[in-house]
This record gives sequence, structure tokens and C-alpha cells, in this order.
Amino acid sequence: MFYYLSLSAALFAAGMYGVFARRNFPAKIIALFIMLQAVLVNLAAFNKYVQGEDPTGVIFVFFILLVLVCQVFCLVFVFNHWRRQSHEQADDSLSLLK
Amino acid sequence: MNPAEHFFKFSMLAPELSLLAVTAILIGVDLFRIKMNHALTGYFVLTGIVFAGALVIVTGLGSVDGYHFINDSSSRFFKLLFLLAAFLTTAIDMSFSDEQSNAGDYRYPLILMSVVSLMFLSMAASLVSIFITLEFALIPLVILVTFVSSSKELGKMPQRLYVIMALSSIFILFGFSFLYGLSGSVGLLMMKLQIAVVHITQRQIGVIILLAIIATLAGLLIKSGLIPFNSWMKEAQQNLPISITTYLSVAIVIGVVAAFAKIFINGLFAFHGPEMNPNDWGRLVGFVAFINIVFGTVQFLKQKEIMSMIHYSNIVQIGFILTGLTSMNELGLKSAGFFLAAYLFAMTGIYGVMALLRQNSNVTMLEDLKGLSKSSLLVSVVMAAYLMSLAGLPVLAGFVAKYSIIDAALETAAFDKVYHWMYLLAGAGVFSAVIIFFKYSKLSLSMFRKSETAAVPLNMPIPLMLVFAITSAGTLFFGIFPDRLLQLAAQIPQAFGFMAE
Repeated sequence: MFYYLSLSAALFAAGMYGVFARRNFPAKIIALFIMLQAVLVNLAAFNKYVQGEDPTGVIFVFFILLVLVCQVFCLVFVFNHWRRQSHEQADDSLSLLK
Repeated sequence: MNPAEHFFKFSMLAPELSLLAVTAILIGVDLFRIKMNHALTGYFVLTGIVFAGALVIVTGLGSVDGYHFINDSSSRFFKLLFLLAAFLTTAIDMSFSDEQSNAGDYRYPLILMSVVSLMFLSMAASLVSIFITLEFALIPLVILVTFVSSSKELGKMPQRLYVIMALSSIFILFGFSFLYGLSGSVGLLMMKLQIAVVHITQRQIGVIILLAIIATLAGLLIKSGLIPFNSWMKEAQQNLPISITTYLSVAIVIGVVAAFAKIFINGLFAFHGPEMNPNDWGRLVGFVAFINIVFGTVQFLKQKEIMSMIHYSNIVQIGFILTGLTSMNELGLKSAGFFLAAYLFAMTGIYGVMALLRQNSNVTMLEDLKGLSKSSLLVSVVMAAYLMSLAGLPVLAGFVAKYSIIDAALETAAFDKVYHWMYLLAGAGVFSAVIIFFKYSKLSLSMFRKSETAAVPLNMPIPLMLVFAITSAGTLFFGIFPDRLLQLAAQIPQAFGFMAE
């Protein structure tokens, strides 16, 4: 399980770096998806090593993917809006978290 | 399963289903291109919300599906708050329809969908259901903001909102994944018991709990726009149309507080108290509340722009609510519930006044409010009442809210030597209350002073009058007779298993 958790931590850190470092909207979205992968790896690993036969963790993963589908629909909508706007302007959404 | 039993459980969702029916009708009307009067649509939505509220009161309590959703007494209280917030938001929106006409006829269905999710959130009893309902409460809002931004000059607001919402959700999920890993369960009740057992038997894995607590708390703080993640909320409050701002800073914030209460007070009940160091979430949340109250008050004093001032005032108010929740006693939870209701009345009222002023004149700075009574005495009086309620003037609801929160913090502090740090939190609360009181008193008095600027005629639409009537009546009534609301708010500690002393 140590290896899975390390992989998850590495993915989460890489994703977080991407979200904070990149100023482009699509790049930020890719980084966010990498962070989400870290969560899914975590849940799957815990399900296998802690729960054994009980599939609760995997069901949780499926629910997250279900929400993700809705998020992607929302993203397409937001993305269209982004495309209509000037492409030259850099996205600095995370500077708002200061 | 017995079909009758199944039906009985299904009937517990009557308020949510009725609101979904209203949403479906609105979408159907739009789909078949039936022209409906804007005011008529608005009144139809208001009627639907009132009907759902009546159903909330008559619907029985119990488990909806046996695991993920439990309709307990605290859910009923939160549902009523969400419905009231939705009602007032819709009424404000109806008053100034052209403000966001580009959102088409989708804004009411989107707000209703978000409210239904928040109502489900109030019943959520597992990590899965909390995550899903919180997400589905925010997705319609991001879509609504994108609709509004297509013609208004909102720049990159939808992208920012999307990135911030997704980031906060991932933080929350990361925390949830560890909570699931430690407890082996996603149900809050099982998690509460099993995490405590794991902690007692294997103390060395406690640090993972700290990681889970920090990740979940960070996600919730980002979602509710508290310090240190408040900049996005400030920008949203300054730029978005008032009705969306009202919904975002009232309904969504109450939703996040409900999620916080469920995860921390219910799920992580065992990890509160200095004996759990370094995994004590009480001190961590207490620290966050302290930072929000102190820095929020300092920033509040510096502001010259009305919406920025309201933003920092909100932060301080939520800091108070966190103080009540951190107290972890019956009075604290009850007071936090009362505070949420008082906050809802005062904030929606203030946003209503701001919407009216924005529509009729270019009021943005604090000095623009000077001599407001010349334009409309009624508006000045209600605005002064909301401000003084937030400031904590006796006879208004805000006073009872602040007093009982500080009382609860002192009760916990006096309980044991190890909780003496709560005195600091209570002291910060008193310090902040005094400073806010002086600034809001000055502002309220300035509205009744003579000014050289010409009076602006304020045309008050009927739905906005309704907003002022409800919010000012709530602020005054619950200030004079707080017992009724306190009794209702007492359902929160009751649902979490806290006994009255």
C-alpha cells in the first residue's frame, strides 16, 4: 500500500504544482484532473488493502466519476465561454487564493 | 422490501420532489417555447418554495435510504434556512429582472436545482452523499455565472469559479479518501466509531488523520471564501449580480457550514480536545475562527467600498459561527444555528438594499450612503436595522446570536484548564463586536444626516418590499423573542447527540 500512497502523493503534488504554476485555463484543468487521479488511486488502494472484499471504496470512485461527468458538461460550457474571450489574456485564478 | 415501507421512505423526499417538479415545469415551459410573463414565473417559483417549506414542516423524520440520507431534526432546520434563502434570492431577482436578462429563463431552474442539492446535503449521512450534494449545489451556480457573464463584463469569472470550485472539491475528496482508509466506512456514524477504535489501538497512524482534517478543512474554507482563501469570494461579491451574490454568500455558505458540522462535529467527534494533540481539529478550527475574526475586523475597518466592507463583515460573522461550532457544547451548536438564521435575515436584507441602490443610483462607496434617508426613509431604517443587527445591537437578532456564541465559548473555556485558549477566541469575538458596532453605528447615523447631494427617487418593486418585510420582521422579532428560534436551532445539537444541561 505504501507504493500506492506514494504514487497518490506524487500525483497530488504534481497536480497542485500545475494548478498553481500554470496560468493557462486548459493547463489548470489538466492539473486538476491529475489531482483527482491521486484521490482515485488513494480510494482504490484503501479499498484493496483495508477493506478486502467490500467494494465501498470502488463504489465511491464510481460516484466521483459520475460527478465528474457532470463537471465535464459544466466545463464544456465554461470552456466555450473561455474560447469566446480573448486567448491572449492569461488566467490568474489562483492568484485569488492569496 | 415492503413496497409500502418503500413508499413511506420516498415520501420523506416530498419537499425536494415538489421543488424538482417546479424546476421540470419551468424547463418544460422553456422547451416548448411558451411565453410566460417574467413576474408570473417568479411568483410561481415563490409559491413552489413556500409549498416545499410547508412540506418540510409536515414531513416525518427518519432514514431515507437506510445509509446515505437521514432526515433528522437538524436537516429540517437547515432545509428551512435554504428555502428561505432561495425565496429571498428569487424575490430580489424578480425585482431587477433586466439585471441578468441574458441568463434567459434558466436562472430559476438553476437556483432551484442548487437548492434541492443543498436540501439533500442537509440530510447527507455519508462522505459520498456529502460530496455529491455539495458538488451539485455548486455546478448550477457555475453554469448560471457563465450565462450571466456572456454579456456582462465579468471577464474570467466563470473560469476562476470553476477552477476554485474543482480545486476545493479535490481537497475535500483527498481528505475523505484518508478518512475512508482509516475507518473502512463512508457512513458518518460508522466512521465516527471506527476511527476512534483505530486511534485507540494504533496511535501511530494518527498523523494521517491530521492530513485528512487539514485537506478537508482547506477544501471547505476555499468553498466558503474564508481567510486565507477569501479573494475569489470578494471579487465574486463585487462583480456578480446581487441576486447571485446573495445566493452565494448566504445559501452556499450555510451549506458549507452544514457540511462542516456533519463531517467534523458528527464524523470526527472523537478528535476534539487537547488530549488528541496533534490531531485535535478543535484548536485548528479555533485558530481559523480567530484569524477570520481578527483579520476580518482589521480589514473591515479599512474598507471604503460598500461591497468590500460587507465581504469582510461576512468573514467576521462566519468566524463567529465557527467559534460556536468549535465550542462543542449544546449552547454553541444551538447558537451557531441561531446565528445562521440572524445572518441570513440581515445579509439578504442588506443585499436587497444594495440591489435597489445599484438599480436607481450609482452607490458604491460608504460616503454615498450619507443622507440616504432623504431618498427613502423606509430603506434607511431597514438598512440601519440590518447593519445594527450584524453589529449586535440589543433587541435585534444579531445581539442574541453574538452574545450566545461568546457565552458558549466561555462555557467551554471554563470547563477545563486545557480549554483556556477559548478565552482568547471569546476575547477576539468581544473585540470584534465592539469595533464593528462603532463602525456600523457611525454608518447608520450618517444615513440620517443631512447631505448636499440631491435625493434619488427609489422605485421599490413589490417582491423587494416582501424581502424587506420578511428580513426586517425576522431581525426584530427574533431579537425580542429569541426563544422560538433558539428552540428550533436546538434541533442541531439534538441531532448530533448533545444534551442540554
